[in-house]
Amino acid sequence: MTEPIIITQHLTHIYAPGPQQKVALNDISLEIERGSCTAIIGVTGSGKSTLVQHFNGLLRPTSGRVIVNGLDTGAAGVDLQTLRRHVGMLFQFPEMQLFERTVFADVAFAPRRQKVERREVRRRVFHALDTVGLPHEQFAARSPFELSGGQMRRVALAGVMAMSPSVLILDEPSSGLDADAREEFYYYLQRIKEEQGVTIVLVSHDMAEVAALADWLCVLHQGQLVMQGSPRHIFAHGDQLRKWGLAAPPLSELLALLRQQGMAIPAETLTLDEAFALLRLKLKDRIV
Amino acid sequence: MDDIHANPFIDMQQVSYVYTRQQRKGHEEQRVQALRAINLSVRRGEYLVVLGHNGSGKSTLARLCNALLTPTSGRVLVAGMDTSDQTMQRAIRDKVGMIFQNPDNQIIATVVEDDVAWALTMRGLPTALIRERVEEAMEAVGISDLRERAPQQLSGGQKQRLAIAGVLALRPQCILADEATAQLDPLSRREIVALLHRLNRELGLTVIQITHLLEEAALAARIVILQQGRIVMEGPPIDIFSDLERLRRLKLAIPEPIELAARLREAGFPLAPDALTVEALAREMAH
Amino acid sequence: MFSKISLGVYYPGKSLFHRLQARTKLLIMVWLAVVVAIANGREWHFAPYVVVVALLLLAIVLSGIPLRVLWQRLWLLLLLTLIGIPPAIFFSNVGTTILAMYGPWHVPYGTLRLTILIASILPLTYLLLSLLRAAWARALRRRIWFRSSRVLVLLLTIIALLFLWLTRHAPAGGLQPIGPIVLTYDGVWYTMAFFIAFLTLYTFSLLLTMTTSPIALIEGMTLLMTPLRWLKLPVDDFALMTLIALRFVPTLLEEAEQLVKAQTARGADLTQGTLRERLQSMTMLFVPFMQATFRRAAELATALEARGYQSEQRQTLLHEKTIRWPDFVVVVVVVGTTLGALVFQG
Repeated sequence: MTEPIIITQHLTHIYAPGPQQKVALNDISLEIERGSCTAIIGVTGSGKSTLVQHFNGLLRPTSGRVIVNGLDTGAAGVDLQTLRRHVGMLFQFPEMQLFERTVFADVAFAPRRQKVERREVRRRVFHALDTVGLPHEQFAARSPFELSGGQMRRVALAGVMAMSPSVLILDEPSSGLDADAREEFYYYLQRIKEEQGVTIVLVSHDMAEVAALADWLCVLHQGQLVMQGSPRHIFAHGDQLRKWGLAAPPLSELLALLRQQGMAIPAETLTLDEAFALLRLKLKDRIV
Repeated sequence: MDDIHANPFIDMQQVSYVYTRQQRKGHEEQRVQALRAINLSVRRGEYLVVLGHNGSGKSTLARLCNALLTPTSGRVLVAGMDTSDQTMQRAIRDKVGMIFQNPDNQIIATVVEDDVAWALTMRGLPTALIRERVEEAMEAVGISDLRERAPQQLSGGQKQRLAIAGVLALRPQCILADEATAQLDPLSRREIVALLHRLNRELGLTVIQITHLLEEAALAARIVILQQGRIVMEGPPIDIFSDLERLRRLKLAIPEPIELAARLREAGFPLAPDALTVEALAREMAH
Repeated sequence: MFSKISLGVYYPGKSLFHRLQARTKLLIMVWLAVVVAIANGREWHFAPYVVVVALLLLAIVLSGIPLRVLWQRLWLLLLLTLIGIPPAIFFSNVGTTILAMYGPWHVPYGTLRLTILIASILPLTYLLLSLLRAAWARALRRRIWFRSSRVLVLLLTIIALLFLWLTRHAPAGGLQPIGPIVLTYDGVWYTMAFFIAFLTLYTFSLLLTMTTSPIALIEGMTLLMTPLRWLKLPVDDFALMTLIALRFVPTLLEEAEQLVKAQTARGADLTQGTLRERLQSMTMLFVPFMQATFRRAAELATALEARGYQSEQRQTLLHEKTIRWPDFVVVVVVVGTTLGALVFQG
């Protein structure tokens, strides 16, 4: 059993310590397995963005420890540049960070900063663009600002992938995308996870979206880790989730309502197919 | 039954809209046809949902309804007033209020109360009247206890409620919600849709909700689906949701409960076709 | 996080000073500035200054703001002022009546040249450290204090070299006079007058902003600028612009913070790297931020249009009300006492 790639131990983060302090994170201990896809779920203000910003050293713990790939981020003299090479982060509306004249130049920014040799930079940029579904022959020379919103977002993703990170953190990756662009984005993300073994951390306020991709969910509420588990397990607690300002996917809510009305439905039914198969059985005496 | 064509609140007649987009490099200008010969009538007090992808023309349609845009050809009548008539624009915008997708970029004052009052102060109304309308609007959306807050202290859902209050203060006859829920989390989304339905029921306000989420259309009186500037489907939710195959071809995401109900119906189970919300479906399935 | 910083220094309260209209307070400030300017020209005439300080103290009491809070905002300025007084007094050679004189001191050129020679060890070591290739030297060069002192060392070196060049013909025994430092009658007066005026006006403006909400201030200014309306100047639009700026500064700060983090996560760094890299880091912060701001402005403009905005509208003001008796009383007291002090011939 390999060691988890990210470990937090009693992580607490306080903004502006003193009389007007804000406790953003309160005693959070969790582990993220290598190669997994973990989703951090919570409403705005629950601390989810604050939490993931500890994973690449943007924030340091007020107390507690954060260990990424064996490196304690709070230790004195820690090399943040190397840390950020291994932990790539995509913020919300990442297309906003594009600034270069060509797609190539923008994606190449990170590896060039890392002083990677020129031929290797080309290789990485082309590979990254292909991975996110923007074939480099067509897209490398274009201006990023001519592209659609979904495409620009994938350019930003390629920009992070060009660093060859071992961990990829995405903050609300699908906000503002319509159903099509969203599907496309998650498709390529799934490919990245499977083909490159990158550990993925998703931050979202919408559980239904991440249900397909995530192996593990961590629910935050007012800075505390209130629940964690597989999607099946989490979605079964619809009432509890609502108290935290969250909604389980509509299908889980439907099943919960049926359960309330007396039907015996196992709590951890998750997918559409499972639900269909189950209900077919239960309702077979009503077939017309 | 009143004839919808005799007395519609909003009447779009053969409306087309074309705009030119400058490509960054080179001097080529691109002509984009956002809407093609749209004919749409909205009844007073109706709850209409307009669905479509980005680029289907739905935002353009919304902006034609309150004279933010004027049609390239055809005409748009709002309560009998032609939107191309510059002198009528103010009156039209008094009748048709609009809330936008980005909750932040429509709030203008530094304090909630002031923002609700803003449109009224712009019309030079007396202070006493303004206070009265502001109270009324804040009550209607439920933000009276947030009156002294600054916008950055509000959640996305609260900001949208503030925007709705700002619109209500003008006592409009219609609210246009242009993807107002797109940037909100699921619970806030439901909250706002429920609020719009309540205002539609209790105050008789016409509501036109623009969205790309099929699941928000379940309780509408009528749904209109746009694709590439044309209306491709139109009708009450029962009719629209009965043709899931077509919706899939239009690349609209079908909510899982609806999908489940469809599969069960196919397998022979009698589920009422008008059960479109999670609660209604649960009731159907349980009996 | 940034959004939690409250903009301005507004300290809510219900004191008399709080309840005065913004217009009244603004007019008083302008009046006091005028009074002080007039008083400055009449030497050794203390009456106006005494009155102004007395009014200030009265205002502080009437505003109900705890002294602790005021002190927090003033202490730095007071410190800087105190540091600034000695140079001002001793080096403003104004007027004729000399109160005291120190110096001049005479130093032989030879001694000066020797001192410079010995002191040249500093820039030489600096130069040496800048050029060495050893790892420890490189680490030292990365230290911020090393890099910032570069400018100072360069400046001192240039001055020293300039001095040596200009005095190259002077004999070693010749004397370089330094000073003298003169304390004049007028110098004392002007320094004192200036500093009192500066401090009182600053404290007044601080009181103004602490007792008036930003919106009330804007509305007050709009009303005071009414005459400009007759000149066809866009007064209402100006008020709207200020309001929008106030509303969006916290939001924009937050967005900027987010952008900085996003680009930092990619490897941007304003403090390290070659000049070209640092310039690039600045571009990657500036360009996207400006674009985002323009986009935001466009969306806001659409929203304003939809809400019925038309340029140059006479708007109802919600925070500035009619002038009532406290305003009259205060204005009369202030104008009366200051005028009286100006003409007082005691």
